[in-house]
Amino acid sequence: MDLAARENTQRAERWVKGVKIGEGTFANVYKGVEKATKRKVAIKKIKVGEMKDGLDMTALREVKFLQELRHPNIIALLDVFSVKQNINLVLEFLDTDLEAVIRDKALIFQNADIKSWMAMSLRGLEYIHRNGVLHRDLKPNNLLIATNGELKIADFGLAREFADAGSKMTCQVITRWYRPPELLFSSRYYSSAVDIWSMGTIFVELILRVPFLAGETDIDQLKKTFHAMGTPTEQDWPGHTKLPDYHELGSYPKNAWWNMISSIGREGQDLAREMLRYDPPSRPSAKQALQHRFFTSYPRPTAPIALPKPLAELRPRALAPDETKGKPLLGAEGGGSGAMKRKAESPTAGKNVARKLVFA
Amino acid sequence: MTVPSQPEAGPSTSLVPGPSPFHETSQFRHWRYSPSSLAEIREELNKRSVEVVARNTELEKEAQQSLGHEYTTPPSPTTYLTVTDELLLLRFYCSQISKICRHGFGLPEVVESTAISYLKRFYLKNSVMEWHPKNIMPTCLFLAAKTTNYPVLIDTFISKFSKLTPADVLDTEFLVAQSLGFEFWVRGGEKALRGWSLDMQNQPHPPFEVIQKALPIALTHLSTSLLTDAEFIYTPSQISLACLRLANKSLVDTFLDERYTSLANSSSTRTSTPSLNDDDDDDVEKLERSLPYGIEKSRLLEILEQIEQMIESGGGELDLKKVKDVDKRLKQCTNPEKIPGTALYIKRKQEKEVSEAAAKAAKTLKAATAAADRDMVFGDIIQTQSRKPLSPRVTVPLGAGGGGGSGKMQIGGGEVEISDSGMGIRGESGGMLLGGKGLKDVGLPLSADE
Repeated sequence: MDLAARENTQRAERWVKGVKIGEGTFANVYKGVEKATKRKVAIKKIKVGEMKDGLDMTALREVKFLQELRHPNIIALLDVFSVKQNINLVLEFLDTDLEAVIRDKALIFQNADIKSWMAMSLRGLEYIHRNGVLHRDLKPNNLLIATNGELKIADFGLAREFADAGSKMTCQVITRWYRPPELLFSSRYYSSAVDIWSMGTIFVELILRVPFLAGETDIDQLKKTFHAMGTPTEQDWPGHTKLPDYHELGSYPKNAWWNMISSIGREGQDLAREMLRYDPPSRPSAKQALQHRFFTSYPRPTAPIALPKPLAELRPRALAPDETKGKPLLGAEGGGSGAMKRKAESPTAGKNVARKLVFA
Repeated sequence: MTVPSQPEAGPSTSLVPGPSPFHETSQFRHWRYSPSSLAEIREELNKRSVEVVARNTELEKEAQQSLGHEYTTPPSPTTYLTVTDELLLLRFYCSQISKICRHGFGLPEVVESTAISYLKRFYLKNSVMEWHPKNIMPTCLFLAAKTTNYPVLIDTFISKFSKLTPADVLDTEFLVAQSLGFEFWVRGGEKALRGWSLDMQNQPHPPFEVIQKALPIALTHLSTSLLTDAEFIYTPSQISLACLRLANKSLVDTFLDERYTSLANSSSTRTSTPSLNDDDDDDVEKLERSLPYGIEKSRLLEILEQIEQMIESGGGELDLKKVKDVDKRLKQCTNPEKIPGTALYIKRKQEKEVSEAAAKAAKTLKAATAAADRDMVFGDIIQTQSRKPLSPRVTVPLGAGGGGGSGKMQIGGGEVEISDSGMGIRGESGGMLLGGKGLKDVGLPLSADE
């Protein structure tokens, strides 16, 4: 047997695969156990083999980045092995995700809880950015929650390393509701500030308990953004009218939109406004966001174990309209010649199908 | 330099933050070796594959003879490739990657350096005698293009190679990914080089023009370093600094003088400087933390000189005549199991297909059985002695049978193994394959515990 195959077999033998607990377009998730410790794990079996262009880019990205990133607030990749032509990712087992928590109307959030989730997300994000990686798909659904309440950033299928100065990146990333205006205007040169915008919208969603900017199309997303926060001026956002897909979208007046999140307190309002600045370089880095007064002022963030969690067993949930229509496009970047292709397109009829990482 | 022994820890070890982000990378954890351990690994691989090739050549001979074919005598052991031969061929194909990237596709350097690293890593797990680099090289390039965000469509890709089919690439892609341990992120020296040039502009009276001139030369040395083992022994920042020093020695030496005199006393800046040292020893670490780059200057210079020597000796033109000679000899001592068209290759392929089909059929059957809520459909175990001829370079109908491992296998029809499921399907798996597909087509659910 080849050396690589032998090493693979050794790795595969450490784990026992159990029942299927989730099904997605490019992967199925199974319950699993580590033989030696009886620890519960999730085994994500990525379907490969039938793809025309070989191993799928999404799968390759996910594996590439999870292999490198280890942090308490990032889902841990415990092992990788293959069975026949399938790649199996052994991931730590996580109970639920932030979206389920937000949608569970039986739960009441206190400001300290929101602060705790934000702190954990930003800590994970700071580590991701420190290692030169852009996540490019932050949304409540990708922030998973462990049994002990710890939040973990997951799904690196759209991630990439920072591009070299002057090389183009695709703007078809980040689920629409969490996508920053520069990407909606098709900016091909962007930075970690795109992830900060996403975190900003998640922050507001945690307070409002509904998605902050829920556009139905890309144009509608811009309109909703401008409607809420006012049309940006050249002063707010220098140079934005030069972006490739810039359109005049009518002029909406500036609103004190942060009044609708006044319950979070002055510092929280200020942090949200900072993270949701139109001008990308003006947004704080993840590190600066963590140093914001919000995190040091009263109340102290809730300990993860004491955070609200859905009591009911997780059930397959209806998909947000954005996820049936507005999934980011995946494809070539920076002059590559790959064809564009849709990611995780869900069947339109399947309003009640299980999401990819639903752990029963 | 003391290179830490290969850490055994897989990805499941707990979080131990290293002194710099580089220490957490898979490259640092799994792809760093001492020069002696590199040599050892290659010797061992070479020795083992000579054994495998010898054994399989015998088997091929038997297979051919059993079919009544003429067969030339296998090569005597003296013609097997040595480690040096293997490395020569490997270096040739590494340099081919550069050519194809630059002139064939116009792909950026990151694809080139990643693909070369993939190819070199692949041959730390496999021998040239098992897998010919001419087949593996395109696959490494194809995969590297995808993992570095510059994907090339398979049809566009193969059009740049003569005599390459999509299957040649796609069939080995998984093998390559597996040999890489699914670790795709390779840290090249380019970003580090850029970092050094920025650092150098950040000293009092920066010699902008000198730096500007040195950079392109350093980049050339960096591409030469890709053909050496430097990346397995040293860090990207060490290698790129050595490349700069090769381009302009006094530039780097003056810069280091300045750093070591100005930074030696101020420990406050150390967090922002990259650590060039890899010693994990705690006591040493404390001492080194107060040093710029966490390492004594004399030690750093020693390392730089080692790398420079490596690059200079690795940069020479390849002797194409020698390469051709090695390639010619390789034709006679490649593992016949891995050459499409040989009797043994066809046999192995069938064995694989048969066992996979059997597994699939078993699975489908099980599901069908469960769905229908009744017992065995196909009755009891049937034991057969299949005896179908193998003919080389011809596609043989499925079900040409034979089971068991390579050791106890019989040529021209083996003993049929009874599968664990007790369904007795292995003996007639060809038929089951069709049965399996049919069952799947009518949409019967698959069992959950595959």
